[in-house]
Amino acid sequence: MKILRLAILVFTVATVGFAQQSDFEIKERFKSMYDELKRDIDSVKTAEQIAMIPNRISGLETEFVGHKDLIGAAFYPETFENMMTRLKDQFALAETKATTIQTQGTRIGELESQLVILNTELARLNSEREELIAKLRSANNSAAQQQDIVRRLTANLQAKDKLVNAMIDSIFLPFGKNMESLTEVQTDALGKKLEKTNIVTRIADIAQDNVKFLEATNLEPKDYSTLVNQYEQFRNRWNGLRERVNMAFEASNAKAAGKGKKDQTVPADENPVGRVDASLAEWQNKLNSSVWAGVMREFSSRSVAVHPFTDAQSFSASIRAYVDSAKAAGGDTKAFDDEIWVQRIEKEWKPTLEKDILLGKTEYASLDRKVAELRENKFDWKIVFWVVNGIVIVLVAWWLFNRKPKKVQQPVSQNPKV
Amino acid sequence: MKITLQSAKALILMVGLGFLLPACSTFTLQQVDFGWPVESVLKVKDNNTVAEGRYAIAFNIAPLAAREFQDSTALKGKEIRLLRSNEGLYFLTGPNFKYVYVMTPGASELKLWNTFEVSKTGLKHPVLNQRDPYVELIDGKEMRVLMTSDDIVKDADSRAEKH
Repeated sequence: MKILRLAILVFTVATVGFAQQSDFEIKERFKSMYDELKRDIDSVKTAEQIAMIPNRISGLETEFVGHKDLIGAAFYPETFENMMTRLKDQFALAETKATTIQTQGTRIGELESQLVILNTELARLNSEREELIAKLRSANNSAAQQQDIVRRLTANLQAKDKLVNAMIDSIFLPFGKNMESLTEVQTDALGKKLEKTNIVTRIADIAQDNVKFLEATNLEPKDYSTLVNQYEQFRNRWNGLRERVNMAFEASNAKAAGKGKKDQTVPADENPVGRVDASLAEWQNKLNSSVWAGVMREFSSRSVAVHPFTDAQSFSASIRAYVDSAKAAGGDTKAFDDEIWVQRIEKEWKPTLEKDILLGKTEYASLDRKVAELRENKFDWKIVFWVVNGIVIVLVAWWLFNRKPKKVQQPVSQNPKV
Repeated sequence: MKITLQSAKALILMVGLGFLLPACSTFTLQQVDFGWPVESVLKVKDNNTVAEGRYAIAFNIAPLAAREFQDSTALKGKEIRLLRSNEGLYFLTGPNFKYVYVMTPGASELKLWNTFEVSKTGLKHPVLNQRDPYVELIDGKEMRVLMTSDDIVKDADSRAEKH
């Protein structure tokens, strides 16, 4: 029996003689190749790298499938099949990720190119704007020319606003919306990009351009509505952007200072965010003063003596005081009510004055009701006119329907009776 | 048949033992497989100990170094190869070893069970593999040996001898 057993052993040894290897080495080699493949899968970026992985996975599988029981036992509770499946799943995930990154990379490249184009276009618009403002300031323009310049300048400012907005999108898009989730490196990169593109100065410039524009011309009431809309849209966009820009700059400044602190503060006059805030405040003040000056001219040009006003509060107070005093005095308020309030304020200024940064809808409605009080005590002769007209129409109609038709005389028969 | 008092006593004693003996025998589970699928390659630490994390075994290797190399510190920083056979004995060897040691576990100890002389000059790159019901020793292309805890089977080129 023992001889038989030995014979079997010798036979076994002889048959596998050429395949002698260490199980430990098989295990270690598999682990090493598996881990390396895992690392490579995690770091794939290019299409070429991605294309090589499936072959390597199937190569690993083919090479070690003969040792799957050994590998399963060595890595218990793992099994060879589970490990290979996980590797394939990891690759599928990495492939999707790499494809996304490549797509984003292409998109980022496109956005970078777009930035260059936008910069060029912006320079052209700036030059055009300077020219238009110079023309606007010149006194030799006819009313039609002036109107045309204002129209072109408004279009120029809107185009510039859109361009800067597109630039902001190009800059921020690759970094996503949530600044909190950005790494320090990403925040720093964003800060550098903001500095390189000079975007915050450009934003501040838009506000300054609008200030210059408002200083250079007197606009029609309806133009102000567009400008106020433009201001509000710009302010809302800036409010959405402000914190992100601030964080990026602070991170960048902290790194530059070598302190690595995110709460490092920069003086307001050096802080680009503060500069935009200041420009925006100036724009709003200019817009306010320009609007109220325009409204004030409506009264002064028609010699209606209201208390001078420079803002929403003083305007409300002035109108209320005028109405109260006119009601008490009982004088003629035709110029105030008909010519100014109804014909100018209601028809021309209402859309502008109803904006929140000016009067707001509630206050405007309240003032309108106040002005309407002037009409309550006045006898409206128009009513008499319409009543008389009505009566005349009724009488004419009555007369037309009730008049007797004229009798037609029958001719006498000429035929003699037979 | 006449039953004497003596034979009655003997009968009672036999019946009593028949109940008592099974109760005293050790309860045992059979066909236990202690085998490690793959050998462990363990590095000897500076304090002359080795530890195997997965199977939770650690011991001092100094006495074995003294026995193999006549120097208790000879294995410091070196690697040894350890594999537990399916029957539960530990096979231990390493580079420059002339022997494979078969150890049996006891209470807080590993007791030498058997020693196989496998090389006159010392092994070069020994590896141990589990080859149920044997443990295989390979040293490069020169040697391939199959062992049980008591026997050793050598291939044509092997000079292994049972000690």
